[in-house]
Amino acid sequence: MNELREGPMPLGILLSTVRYEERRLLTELERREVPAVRLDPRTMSFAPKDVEGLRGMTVLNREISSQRAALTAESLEAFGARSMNDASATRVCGNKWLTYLRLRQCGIPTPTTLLAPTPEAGLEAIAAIGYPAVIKPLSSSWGNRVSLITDQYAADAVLEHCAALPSAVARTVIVQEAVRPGSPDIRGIVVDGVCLGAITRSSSDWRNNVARGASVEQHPPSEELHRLCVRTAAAVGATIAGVDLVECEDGSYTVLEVNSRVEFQGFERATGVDVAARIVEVCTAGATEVEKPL
Amino acid sequence: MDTQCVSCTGTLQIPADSYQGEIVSCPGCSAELEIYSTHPLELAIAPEPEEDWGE
Repeated sequence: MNELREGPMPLGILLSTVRYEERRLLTELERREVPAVRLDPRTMSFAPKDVEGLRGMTVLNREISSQRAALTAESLEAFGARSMNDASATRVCGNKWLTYLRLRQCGIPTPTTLLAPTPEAGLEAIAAIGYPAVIKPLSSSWGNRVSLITDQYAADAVLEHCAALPSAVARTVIVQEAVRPGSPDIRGIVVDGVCLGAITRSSSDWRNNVARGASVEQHPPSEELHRLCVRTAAAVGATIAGVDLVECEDGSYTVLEVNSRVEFQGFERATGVDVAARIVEVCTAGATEVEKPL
Repeated sequence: MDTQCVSCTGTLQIPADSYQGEIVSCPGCSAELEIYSTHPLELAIAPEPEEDWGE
C-alpha cells in the first residue's frame, strides 16, 4: 500500500505516524479490499514524477502535523486530487481564530473570542472578557499551551512566556471566554452530514482531552446537540469533523473548536460506533457536497 | 517478529499485523521507535512530537 500504481484509481491515505485511528482505518480498508495507496507528507515534494496518478484521486487526510496536513491538502488539490477533508476545511480547523470567525459568520454559538497578536493586546482582551479567560495558541491540539487565566498575575506570566517564543505565529494567541471551566465537555463526530453520536469527556485537569487522559462516556442522545454538530461541520466546510462543545449554565450548547483530522479512540470505546467504517464508506462512495448553513 | 532495538540493541517483539508508521516502545530501554518499514522490518527512533501535532 505504498506506491502509486496502475489499475483502478486507489484511495489515497495521507499519513506519517500511525495512531489508533489510522490503524483502524488501514485495517478497515484491507477488510473491504479497497485499493489504497499510502502517501507520506514527510517525503512529498510534488516533483513532476510524484504527481502522476494524483489527478482524480480521493485522499483521506490523516496527517498528524497540522502544518503538513494543510500544506499537503492544498498541494493535492492543486494537482487534481480531492482531499478529504478539503484544504479549506483543514486550514480553518487548524487555526482557532479562523474557526471562530467561520462559526461566528455562520451563527454557530461559540464563546466570545478576541485576537491577541501582542501581549498588550492580550491584556486588553483579558480585561474585556474578564476572569476566568482562556489563552490558546492559534494552532495547537491535545490542549497543549492552552491556559486558564484566573487573575492578572497568571495573565502577565502566560503572555510574557508567549512573547518570548521564537516564532511570530506561536506568539499570536486568542483569548476566549471560559465557559464552565473544569466541567465535562462534549465531543460529537460528524461524517458526511450525519452526527454519529456524542461523548462526554471529563478529567481531573480542567482540559478534557482524551490525549491528556480524560475519561469518556456516551452522551445521552440529543437532537439539538446533533443538529448543532452537523451545522458546525458545515460551517467550517468539513465532511469529517470532531466538534467539541460545552453545555452552558442555561442548558444550551456552545462550540469550542472543530477538528478536521479527528481522533476517535475514546468515541468508539464509549459509543461502540464504528467511526472508521463510516469514514471509509464516505471516502469510497463519495461524500455529498458540504453546504454552509444559511 | 523479533527485532533489535536501534537504541539499546536489545530484542523486542513487533506484532505481525503492525503497520509502517506505528510507534512501539522498547521494553528494555523505553525508547519510542517508529516502524520505518515492515518488509523488511526496520525500526528508527520515533520523531519527537512537534508543536503542531494533533487532530
